[in-house]
Amino acid sequence: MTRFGLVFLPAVLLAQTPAPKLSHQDAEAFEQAHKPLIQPDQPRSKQASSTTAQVSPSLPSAGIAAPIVNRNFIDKHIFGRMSADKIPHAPLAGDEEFARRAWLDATGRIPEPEALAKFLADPSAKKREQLVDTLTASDAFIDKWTYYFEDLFRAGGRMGSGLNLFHYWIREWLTLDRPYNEVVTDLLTGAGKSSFSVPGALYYQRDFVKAKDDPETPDAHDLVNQPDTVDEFTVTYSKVLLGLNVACISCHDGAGHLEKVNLFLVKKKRDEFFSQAAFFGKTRQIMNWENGYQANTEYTVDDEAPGYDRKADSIVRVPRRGNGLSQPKFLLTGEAPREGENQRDALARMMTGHIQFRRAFVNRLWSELMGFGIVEPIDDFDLARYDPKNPPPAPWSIQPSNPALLDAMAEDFSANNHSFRHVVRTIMKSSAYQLSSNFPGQWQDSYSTYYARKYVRMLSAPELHDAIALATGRPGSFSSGTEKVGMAMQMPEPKKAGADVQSFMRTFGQSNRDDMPKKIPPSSLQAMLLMQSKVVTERVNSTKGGLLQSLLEKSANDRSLVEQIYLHTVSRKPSPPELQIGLDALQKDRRRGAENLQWALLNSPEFLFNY
Amino acid sequence: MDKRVSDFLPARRDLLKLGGHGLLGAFASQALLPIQVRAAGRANPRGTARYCIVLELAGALSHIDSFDFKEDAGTQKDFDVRKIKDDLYLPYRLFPELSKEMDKVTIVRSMKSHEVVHFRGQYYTQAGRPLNPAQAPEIPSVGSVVSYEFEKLRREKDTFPTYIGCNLDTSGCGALSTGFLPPRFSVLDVNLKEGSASAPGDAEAMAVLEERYRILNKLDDAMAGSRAGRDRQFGAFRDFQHSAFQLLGDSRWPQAFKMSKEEIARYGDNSVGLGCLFARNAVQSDAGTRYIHITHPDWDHHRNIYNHAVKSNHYIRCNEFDRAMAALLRDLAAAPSPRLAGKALLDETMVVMVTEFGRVPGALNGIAGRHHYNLAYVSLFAGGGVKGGRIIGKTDAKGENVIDSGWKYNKHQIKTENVYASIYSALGIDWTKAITNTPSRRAYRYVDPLGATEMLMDDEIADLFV
Repeated sequence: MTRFGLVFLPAVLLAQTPAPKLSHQDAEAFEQAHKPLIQPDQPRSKQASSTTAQVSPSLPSAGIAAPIVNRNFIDKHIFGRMSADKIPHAPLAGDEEFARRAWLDATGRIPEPEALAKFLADPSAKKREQLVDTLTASDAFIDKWTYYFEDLFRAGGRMGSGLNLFHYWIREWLTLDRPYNEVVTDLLTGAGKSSFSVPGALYYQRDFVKAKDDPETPDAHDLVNQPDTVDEFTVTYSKVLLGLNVACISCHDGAGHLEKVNLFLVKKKRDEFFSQAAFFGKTRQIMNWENGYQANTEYTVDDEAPGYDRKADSIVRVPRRGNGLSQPKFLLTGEAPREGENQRDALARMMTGHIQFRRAFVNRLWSELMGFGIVEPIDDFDLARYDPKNPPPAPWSIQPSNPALLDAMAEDFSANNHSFRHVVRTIMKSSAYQLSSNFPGQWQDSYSTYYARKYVRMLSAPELHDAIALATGRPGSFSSGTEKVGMAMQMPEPKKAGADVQSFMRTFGQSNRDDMPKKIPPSSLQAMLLMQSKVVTERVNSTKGGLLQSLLEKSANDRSLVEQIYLHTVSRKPSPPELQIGLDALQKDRRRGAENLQWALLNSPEFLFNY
Repeated sequence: MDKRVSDFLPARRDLLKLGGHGLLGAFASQALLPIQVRAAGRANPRGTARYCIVLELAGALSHIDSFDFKEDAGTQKDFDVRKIKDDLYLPYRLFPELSKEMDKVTIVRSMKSHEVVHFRGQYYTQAGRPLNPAQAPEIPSVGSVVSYEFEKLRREKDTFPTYIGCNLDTSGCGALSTGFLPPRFSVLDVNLKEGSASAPGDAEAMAVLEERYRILNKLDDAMAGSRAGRDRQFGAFRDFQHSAFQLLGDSRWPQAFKMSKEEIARYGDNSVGLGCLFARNAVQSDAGTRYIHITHPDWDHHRNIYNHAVKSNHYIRCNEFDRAMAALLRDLAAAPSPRLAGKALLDETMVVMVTEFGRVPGALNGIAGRHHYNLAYVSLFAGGGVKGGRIIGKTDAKGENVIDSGWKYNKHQIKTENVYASIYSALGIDWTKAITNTPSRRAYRYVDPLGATEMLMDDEIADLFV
């Protein structure tokens, strides 16, 4: 089946059907009947807050009563604001809670019991900082964040065999901690005879929409035109790299449409979108042909097209208007490329030099590590509602929950040479990150944007798979280039996994990297998979090698067996009542009991959540 | 089995009765907010169907090679075209089984889509409206809307989800979410070919599962004890495990997956065959499921459409679909309805074939296939109040343009929106309703007259039923 990439057609609402006359009683009756059932979508802060409030009582760790110390500028902003507004907050997380969280956030893996035991036994006051440093310097850190960026940049699909190059390119710049502005420059300016040899060319090439399958007219775009592809890509990178959602103005002016949606974009015109898109107006992706067949995934990427033509037909958008070629102008500043400067080089320079680029990225990382962004949605900033010194008119409010913090983080990012690793470390070393997810007293929704507690999040799809694999000592086997790797997070593309693993990961929200991320449809399938999927049941089988088999053979006694199962699975020791339940299970049938116990732990909330 | 499962269930039966299956989304439950539903009251839904099964041929069915058959330069010699009746010719080679069942089936030949791209077209056929990226995150699939509408009809003993999908994840857009509707209306997508974990194991596996679940419950209680002084909410998370477990423990669930060799041979051992067989079982068990969406992928024959040597061609796909749909119709027609005297399950079950668009008529393209064609294509309807054996709409000699739309709106071809208006009507749902307090505050109309490129008639296809 041919994939055409994502193309948008916003419905153009030109006229409303008049609402037919309805009796008052009918309307009320319907409203009453349906009252309890519909719940409009909540903002992510409320969702995180609500999820945490409900899951938290099922989680083991209580906080510690140590005083909160401001460890870096993040704490000054977070606790400063709470103290100014008299908002109570959770205590610090205990060591077990912190350790598991730090391991998962930094490396995407649950703690290895021996390393965990060492950490827990360490009396040093600096041990948490040291743990963060160690974890962010590990190979697993590279694995996890390579996967994260592969999801973000939608690695796979039409990249074809170029995916392996892209994969190793990401691993390389993460390992070297290359400045992120340089990385993005590469992504936007890649060009070359073959996308198989230039990693930066793959980001745009990936969005190519296939033309006719006809060697006579290889460049014919009868289904989606080149300018449509450029438009699509412009919308994509604006969301991913600038946190701006320009999809709306790709079809119409903001005025008359976005008054209730985005005050910044309401002033923008479709022409300005064309000018932004025009940075890629000259860029071509040419499919290579070999022996009469398409070398379907190898492309030449260059800048030889005439430019962004406003008269070009659109297959999927409201028809363009205007004459001639649009000249590139950066949407946020109106700046044009310098004399003689390659357009894409200009775009990379302007974009990576703009504060919004830094804000958007640190906001994304904050969202990843703290539950939700300081600005939400993370790809939909409203720049007219950013500055507290220039507040928007009522009933609008400022969009960021803590603009001073976001700007301070953006500044810190730039001052540290755009180091991604530095941002992760700074967030993780703050006391704000180290708060417990357990909140004593009555939680109010209004506390949520203060980050008054740590929010839980469910493990991501590859994290969950890998956690199950690690807890049971039974890694998977996936292809990465010519190698075999054991963790799902080491795979360049989830599609390379077997059917069971793919379906498991899809159900737990793995994006297919073709469409922009969409809402996971939750279903009982998730609960069922955890109960019955081979991903779980095969692994708790103690007759096929792995942790349980080894523990059953080598444990000194039943008590130690139960404790080891707990340490390997949920990274802590069992409480006395839990120990008793475990021992009882072993009594009936030692082998089966051990399997059942581990199964139960794999199905419990504390395993599924990163808290 | 059911008695033991009930040992584990909490007292909050009312929550479970709602068929809540979503794992994560429960957490998004807030204090219930009032919603506004505006019923335009222009519709008279017929309420002739209790169930609806939608078969989606993903990839686009060539209309002139199937249910709007045209003899042309592409027609293959081995099609064995036969006259079924007046205006109905079918390639017998492609549809040997359905050829015999056309008295049950009504064909619409005047379909039109504005889409030409798979992802968008398949979104359209699942959501019943064009893709609008501004609104897409909040738009529910039709099945989820049906699930919401039918919530009040769920009985204490209903454990199956109202909306089940078969192989929805093989569709170009995957399974759509519940949008602004609560997650409990989400689809449960079963993948029968891969033997998904939603299929229950045998009695021994169930016994193991029960023992494990017992331990899980004990551990949960043990944790509760250590929560001194804190308000312990009964974890909604556990509610979902309970309802999933309840489903696994309901003996009707493994029954729905039981497929004998004979049945598999009759339906076909492929995604659409097994999907239809499962759908039949779900309908027969009457355990809560009312809407089933089956995806049959891999119809996109841009190249080698009639080439017997390739892995996927028109013959193979047509034969798979033909066998599956015919077996489904026959079995439903043979099964007596437990509710309506003298009627069969087919009389209560609307079966609909949808596809995203057609394929270019006339000569084949340069790679021996047919490209996409949206100006004319076909849809099939049977059961659930549909009067079979008719043809609605007519195309010109080549199958390129619709010359008679076949229904009361002469100037308008029939759209996917009208297909869903008909489904809503058959299910007894007023399709002119709109829900007004959505997150974006745009009214969600069940059938939206504002089409992507033109206004459309937001009406059912009355000619199907009378």
